[in-house]
Amino acid sequence: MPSAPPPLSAEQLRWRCDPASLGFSTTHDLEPLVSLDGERRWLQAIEFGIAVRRHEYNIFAIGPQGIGKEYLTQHLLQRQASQEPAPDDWCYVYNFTQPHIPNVLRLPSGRGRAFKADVEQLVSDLKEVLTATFEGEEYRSRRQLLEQELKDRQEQVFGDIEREAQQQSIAFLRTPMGFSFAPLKDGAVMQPQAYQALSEEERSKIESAIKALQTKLQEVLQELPLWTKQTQDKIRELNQETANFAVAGLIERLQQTYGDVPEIPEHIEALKADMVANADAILTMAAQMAQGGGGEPAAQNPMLRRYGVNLLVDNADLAHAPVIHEDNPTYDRLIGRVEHRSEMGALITDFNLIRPGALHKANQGYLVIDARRLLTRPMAYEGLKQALRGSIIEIEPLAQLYGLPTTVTLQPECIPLNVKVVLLGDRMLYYMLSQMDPEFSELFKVVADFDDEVDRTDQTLKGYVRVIAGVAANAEIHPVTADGVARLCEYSARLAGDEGKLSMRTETLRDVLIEADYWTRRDGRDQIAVEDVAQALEKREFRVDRIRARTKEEITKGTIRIDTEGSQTGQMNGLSVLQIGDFAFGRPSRISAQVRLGAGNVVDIEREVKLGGPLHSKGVMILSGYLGAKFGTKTPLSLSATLVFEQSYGGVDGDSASAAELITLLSAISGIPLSQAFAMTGSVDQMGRVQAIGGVNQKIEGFFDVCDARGLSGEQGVLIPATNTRHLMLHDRVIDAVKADRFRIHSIETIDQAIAILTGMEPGEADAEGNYPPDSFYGTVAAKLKEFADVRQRFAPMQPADKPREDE
Amino acid sequence: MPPPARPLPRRILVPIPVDEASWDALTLAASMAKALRAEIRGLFVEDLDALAAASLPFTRVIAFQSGRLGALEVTQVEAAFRAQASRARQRLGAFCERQAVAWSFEVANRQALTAVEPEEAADTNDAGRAAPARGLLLLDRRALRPARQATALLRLAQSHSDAVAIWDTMARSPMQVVLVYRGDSANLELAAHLAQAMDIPLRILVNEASPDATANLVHGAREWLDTHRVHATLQELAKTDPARFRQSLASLERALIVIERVDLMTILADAAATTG
Repeated sequence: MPSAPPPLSAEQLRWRCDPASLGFSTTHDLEPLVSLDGERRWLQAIEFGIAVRRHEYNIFAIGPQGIGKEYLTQHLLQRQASQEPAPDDWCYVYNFTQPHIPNVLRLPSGRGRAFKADVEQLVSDLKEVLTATFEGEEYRSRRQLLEQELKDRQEQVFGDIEREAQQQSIAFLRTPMGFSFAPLKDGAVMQPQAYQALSEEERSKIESAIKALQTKLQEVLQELPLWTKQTQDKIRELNQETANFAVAGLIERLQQTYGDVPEIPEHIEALKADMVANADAILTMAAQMAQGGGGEPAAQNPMLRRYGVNLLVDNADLAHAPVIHEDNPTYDRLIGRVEHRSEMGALITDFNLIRPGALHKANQGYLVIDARRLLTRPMAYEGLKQALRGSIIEIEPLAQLYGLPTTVTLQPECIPLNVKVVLLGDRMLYYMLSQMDPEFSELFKVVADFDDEVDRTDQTLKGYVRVIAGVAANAEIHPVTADGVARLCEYSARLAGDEGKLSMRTETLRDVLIEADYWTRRDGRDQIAVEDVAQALEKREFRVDRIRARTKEEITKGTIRIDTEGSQTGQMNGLSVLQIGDFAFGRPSRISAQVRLGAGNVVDIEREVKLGGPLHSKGVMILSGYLGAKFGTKTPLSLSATLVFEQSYGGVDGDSASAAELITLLSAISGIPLSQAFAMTGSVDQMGRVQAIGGVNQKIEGFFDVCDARGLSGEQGVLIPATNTRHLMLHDRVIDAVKADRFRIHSIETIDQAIAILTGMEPGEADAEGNYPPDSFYGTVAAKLKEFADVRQRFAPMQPADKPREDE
Repeated sequence: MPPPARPLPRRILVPIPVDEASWDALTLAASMAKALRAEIRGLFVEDLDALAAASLPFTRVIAFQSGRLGALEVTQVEAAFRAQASRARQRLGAFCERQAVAWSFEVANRQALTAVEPEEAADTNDAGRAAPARGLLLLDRRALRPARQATALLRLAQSHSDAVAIWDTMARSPMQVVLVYRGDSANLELAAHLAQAMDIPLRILVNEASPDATANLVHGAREWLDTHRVHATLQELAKTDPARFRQSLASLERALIVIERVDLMTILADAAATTG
């Protein structure tokens, strides 16, 4: 027969980290460590993912928030990237045959910038060289000759006509409307009166002569456009020849410099051909710019803009492969975009307005993206998958993907993609994507699962304090003393919810250290001591403590009824944990049970009103199993029982109160009161063994605070599952009370031990026939159940015993 | 070095012919006016021959581009002149306002050119004293060609200007200022001033009948240039007849040619003789 176990000692309630055992004075003495390496799963996964250079072996790093997986991943990637060469530069240039599909050029790292500068210089020189060449003596002479030929030819024919006219005393006139002929007299055009005074014959002769001249002139005028065109053709040929000569020198230099880079020579040739073909327009533009008469700046001039180089990715300043973290992974920021500019109210674009995305910048390197952000940006995930699937970056406007009409845009040539993408996310996201998206598993074949805690051994503790030193150094705060670090290690064990573990939530530790550093600086000290860490922890808790304080106040005032002394039948203090944001605290709840005649079922009121979750219902149904096995083998269970969390208005889930519910039910059946000085937590199985639960520290402290507020009697305490003992990392205020025998914590393995503590009675052990001693707790329960069965039997003809759940 | 015979011209007279292709000279006129701080007087010249021709019963007009034959009416020609004059006025105003130059505009027929009153009447040069400037006549090179205009232009030059600038509006902006130097230091100063203001080179041509006279002029020009620290290239023209002189000037490319009235008379006389 188990007797009531003794309360736990103060030493059992918390792991104490001995600062002296850490072997340093302050974190300055330690070599900072980024992470605990060893055999860690995530580390091996990332190293594997990096080593397999295939497009589908991308990495999904999973783990809870705050464990520094982003920092650790980046650190690891940076380490790897530093051993890899800098990637190539990428440029977009004008496509002279299909302007809407800009060509892409790939240059070795650093040469893109030089190429862009050289081409810009060429364009700048081009204006001057062309201007100089076209103003040179040779060109002008040749052009003048051509123009003069035309002029001479025209003058010749007009002169011939004019002379022929003059020989017949006829003037060749140039009026605003065109050419005309009129008879002359004394060197001036004949007046109408004088003309009328002429004889008919003379007038007829003049008019005939003028008609003949007109006909001749018309014939000449018909020839003029052809002559002009012939001259223009010749001038065009001359221009091209001259431009070719002028441009050749500039182009030759460029060809020599970049002849070794594939595709560049072809582009330079196309550049040259276009410059030669458009030499006239360039000259006109250069003249306008020289005169300042409305010419656009070179960068905005459409003619010159197409000769430019859009250096999309410039890796000249990179010494190694890039590691890019895209914090805002929208579609455009990942894949790149084509911008537009407004000109005369219309949106226009060209290859100079193509902008790179994170994939361009990370190409031949690493790209880190937060998975949740990626999934919440429209089309970003799809765009990323498309790029990874095809191993190319294809810039396509978002509107086009949606099938919406777009303004004039481009289809830039695709860029080959060779990048290792690392997505960061929580486990739920990973499992969801794995299940819902078949492509996900094909593209992210490596999962790096970050542990959120590690086993606390001497070895890990040594590494862990170096990680803390690294966090402190990284946060650029004062060094932390050994006792400060020890306190932080204890807090870490508390975060892990296990005195044998250390939490890897380094971001939380960093926050605590930064806040501790504030108190250190405020007090004018230069080392973060244990009291600074303690104050930081206390203030952190205080800042989020409002709801806990309100709850405690309501309990203390009696609004929420929780008994902490005396005894009650069918009533027990259960414990639950409320999670509000990052802050969790324990809250006692009054569990009550009522029994009456019935068919042996236990009704969970929480479930009936749909406030209970499935795990809670499962716990309650286990109670039926326990009762049936323990007391229903000889006599049918002829009761119905109802269980409820009193004054609970929210949902209840979990089975951590099932042990308390069982003992409450047994108390209600037997009529034996339970001590209200205790609260109890733990789940129970059908054999009556008490099992581990979560949040044990918060639950104990929740009840302790209520008792403490009312005044500790020395009788009060909490019953916890024995298997939770190793999770204890209680607050000092509880430990101090235990030390002073003002509060007790019992770890129990069975419900029998709880009965002994809560009732002061022996639970009782069944004999060979299954009978319990009549004065034992179970004996009383069995007797009561027998009474129920007898009463029920009297009603048997009216109420079939095997009809289930008649009360429902 | 004696002071210049006259101050710089305060007025630029620009005959504007009906040929609109030559109106680009107005831009140059505005630039020159700004450089000289002078004002522009635009003179739109109607062609009375065209009006007379239109009044004849049988005259037709042949369109420049298409060669199409059409009727030529007096009202039509008058309306065309009025429209052209209006456009010329607008164009001149636009150019002058852009350069912040004062300007005026008149319409005259070719026969009435001689009636245009000069602004300054004085035409004499008292020794050692600057005579009032009458102005600078800016002509399009093509205006020199038709013989029937020669007399009118000559009269205009005689009555309104001390110097004549000739410009080929078919070419672009001038690349040099060319002065035909005959000993008038006022013209030297005028040409130097224009070259400096337009930031283009100055070229001086000396053309005299005798070698001694030419040497004297060259010496005088050099002295003036040295004194005023003006850079220019000096070139002696071989003794030439008027026809070759006219051809020499015609071969100058993209040049603003500054000549004296006497040279204009030579050129026009030759042009008249050639055409006649």
